[in-house]
Amino acid sequence: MQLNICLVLCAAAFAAATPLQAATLGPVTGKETLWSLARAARGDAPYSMYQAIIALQQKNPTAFIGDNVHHVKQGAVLELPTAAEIAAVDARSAEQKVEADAAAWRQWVATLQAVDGSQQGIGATVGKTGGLSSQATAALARQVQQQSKAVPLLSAAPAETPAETVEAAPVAAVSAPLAPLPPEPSAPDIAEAPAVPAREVRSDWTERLQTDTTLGLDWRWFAKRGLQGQSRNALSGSALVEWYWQSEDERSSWTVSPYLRWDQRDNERNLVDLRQAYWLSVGDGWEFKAGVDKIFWGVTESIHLVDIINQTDWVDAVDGESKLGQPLLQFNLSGDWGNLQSFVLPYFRERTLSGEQGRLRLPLPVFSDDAVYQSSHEQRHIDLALRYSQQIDQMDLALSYFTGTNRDPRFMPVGQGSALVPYYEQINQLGLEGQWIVDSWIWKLEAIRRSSDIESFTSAVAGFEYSSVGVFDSAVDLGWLVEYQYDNRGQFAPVPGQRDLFAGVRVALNDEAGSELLFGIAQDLQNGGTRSGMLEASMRFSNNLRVRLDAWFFQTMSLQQPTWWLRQDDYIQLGFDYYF
Amino acid sequence: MNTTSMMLNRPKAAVLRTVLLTGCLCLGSLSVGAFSAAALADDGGKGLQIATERKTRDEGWKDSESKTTMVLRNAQGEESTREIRSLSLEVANDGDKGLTIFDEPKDVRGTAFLNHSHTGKPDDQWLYLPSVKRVKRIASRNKSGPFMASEFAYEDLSSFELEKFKFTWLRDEQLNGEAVFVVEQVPLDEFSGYSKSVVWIDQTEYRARKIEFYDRKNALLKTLVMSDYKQYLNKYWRPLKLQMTNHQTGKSTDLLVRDIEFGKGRTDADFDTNALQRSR
Repeated sequence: MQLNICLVLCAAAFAAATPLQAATLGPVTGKETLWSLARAARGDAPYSMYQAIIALQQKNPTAFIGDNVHHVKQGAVLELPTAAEIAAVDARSAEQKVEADAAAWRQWVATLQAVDGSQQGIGATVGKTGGLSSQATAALARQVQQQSKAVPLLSAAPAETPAETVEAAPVAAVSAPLAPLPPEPSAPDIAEAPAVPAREVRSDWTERLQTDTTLGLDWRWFAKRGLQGQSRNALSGSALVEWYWQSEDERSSWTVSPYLRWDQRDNERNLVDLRQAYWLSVGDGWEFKAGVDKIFWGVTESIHLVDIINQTDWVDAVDGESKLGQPLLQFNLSGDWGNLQSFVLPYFRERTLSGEQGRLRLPLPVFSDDAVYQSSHEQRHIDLALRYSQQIDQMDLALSYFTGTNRDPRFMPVGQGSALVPYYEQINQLGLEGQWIVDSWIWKLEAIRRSSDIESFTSAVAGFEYSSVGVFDSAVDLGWLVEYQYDNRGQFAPVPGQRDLFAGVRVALNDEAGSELLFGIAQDLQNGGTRSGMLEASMRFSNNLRVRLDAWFFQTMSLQQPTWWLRQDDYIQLGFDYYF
Repeated sequence: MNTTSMMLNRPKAAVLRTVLLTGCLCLGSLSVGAFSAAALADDGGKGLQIATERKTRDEGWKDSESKTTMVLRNAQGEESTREIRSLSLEVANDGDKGLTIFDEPKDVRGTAFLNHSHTGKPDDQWLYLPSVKRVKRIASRNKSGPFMASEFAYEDLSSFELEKFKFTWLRDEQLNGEAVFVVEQVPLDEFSGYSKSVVWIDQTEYRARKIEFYDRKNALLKTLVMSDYKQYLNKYWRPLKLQMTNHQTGKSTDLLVRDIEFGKGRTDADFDTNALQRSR
């Protein structure tokens, strides 16, 4: 397998200059050099080299490994793009792509040097030519581009590529992490010397390793100072990495996903967590998982009553959808009769709660580290869970059962009532989920019956989601959400949704930025002054960057409402998520 | 034991992280048109015969997978790209099954879409949202929405089912020096975004080469050109390039398909909601 950057340039130049003289080029061998091909590439190139390179790649998508323009398969026969096809390529995005591929290539070469001690000599050679290669590509492309700009169309002077430039280019030799790059690397040839021989560097093992990273940066601005005088703004940052490896037969996989968070004000928001770390094995009609994972149960949108496997990372997101990783053993059976999940949960995770300097907190300090448990096994109590689900045509039904430590803490006063500690009791919970699709309507229901030594109660949420697409003759989709939240403890329920109505609308612009917005208000039907609302909007700014704007408000005049303590905590949050 | 119940539970509204995708990319079996025996046109049944032949020639491929780059271009020529992987499973006597995994833009990576298309009833569709590890079933009635903000609508990409259209053969003509049939097809689904489409099918291999789509007001909306056909397993032709141009907005989308593989031995179990949750 050979990388042939020079060939790309040459072929591209051919394509630009003499589209009718040669329909194909190749097969690619290891003999071509940048210099020899660049010489051949001289000619009238009315378009930028970047455009030509990209057009060549688009014309021959299968000839390039890993979608990288610097990786041509050895032996590939390249079909030359026509002048019109080259002209059709956007010059700016072509330049970005070629440069980005060059950077990826450099990184890969650096990785080779770092990881391949046994073949250091060759590694170094590859590194050198690789570095030169990408540098030279850019230099050459820039030069050709400048020339084609400087001279009239079709009479451009020959694109001289000074050998000095090529040879003097610095070597990218920094050790870099393993990049998700092509499985079959090949050596670039750049100077007069023949290409470095092909060799297998990466094993099958690393070929199937996938690494994804997300970095987050968030600013929260609160409308007022906190009830305890906390600051009106806070900055926080986070990093989430996910490594995923799958065996060749796709029967087993590993997933490891650590998460880090730092907060400017609240120490309790600082967190190191394993969101996922498990081994999964899949057979005919069964799955077995051991490790740490996140499991979601439920169908509704405004509240997740049935969902109970994972602890909520409350300080991360006030909507309660952020979860801590849960240690578990999971066994799934499925067939025409439905789907049965069973769980053994050997370790309990405590809820994250705001610290004294944090916002969105209870009026008294909570000593989270001094949690009290009903079970003498405390966090080592073994919880069990089962869920059976079945799809009957347009209807989905699920029944679940959980026995173990309550994920929702109660709070006990300590120190003559100057502070609180979380109390985690033992509960049994029976859950029901139902969903019925009728045309553009989805009707939804979740209900639970939860019992402990302290109390037993029933809670439910039911409603619909209605989608209308392409409204007002545009590409815009609207989704309407209405859900009624019920708790038979009524006003004494320690939750906001006792007799509350949630109404929301989701707008998806279906534009290239993937812009979307969700706005919703929950109104307490028994206490007219109590409501809360949220707005979530986001759009993409590049292939790697998404910007979010979230906002929440909490209104109540009633001391009995759980949101009483949040009444000064209305906030807007601006967030940036960078993916690579 | 004295406990208080000042519990900070979940707030009232939780977030919907729906990517609102209503498309399935079953490129493995992308094709056009179907006919209803009940909807015979006054072309002596020739449109129907052509469709039958097309369908017959594309039967038996079992399962396939591919990778696709989507190049979205606005009226000013500015481009953005998407990367997806698709798996397809042929289902006898019903619509095919498809699983689409999104790799780029990176903010939607890991999102996956499962579609069980049907001939006599609405498709079953699910979306997997990796951030909350949630499989969300979605309503499938509307087929005219854009797929990932592209010029392709869901119905342009759904699998080739024979019961969805009324066919009429219009004429034979030459297209780029090749003899083609020109066939009109009228969708029988009232929720289709089109009043009709016109398909150019080559007479040697019965491959769709070009399709013109007409909107509900019967104005020309889009043209799809399929090229770079490649034959697999000595039988099945697949276009590696699909270019859709919207005449009303000036936007266009190219699908560049690569790494098509057939016969990986996939089964129904690779296209259920458990598999959707596992997909990467």
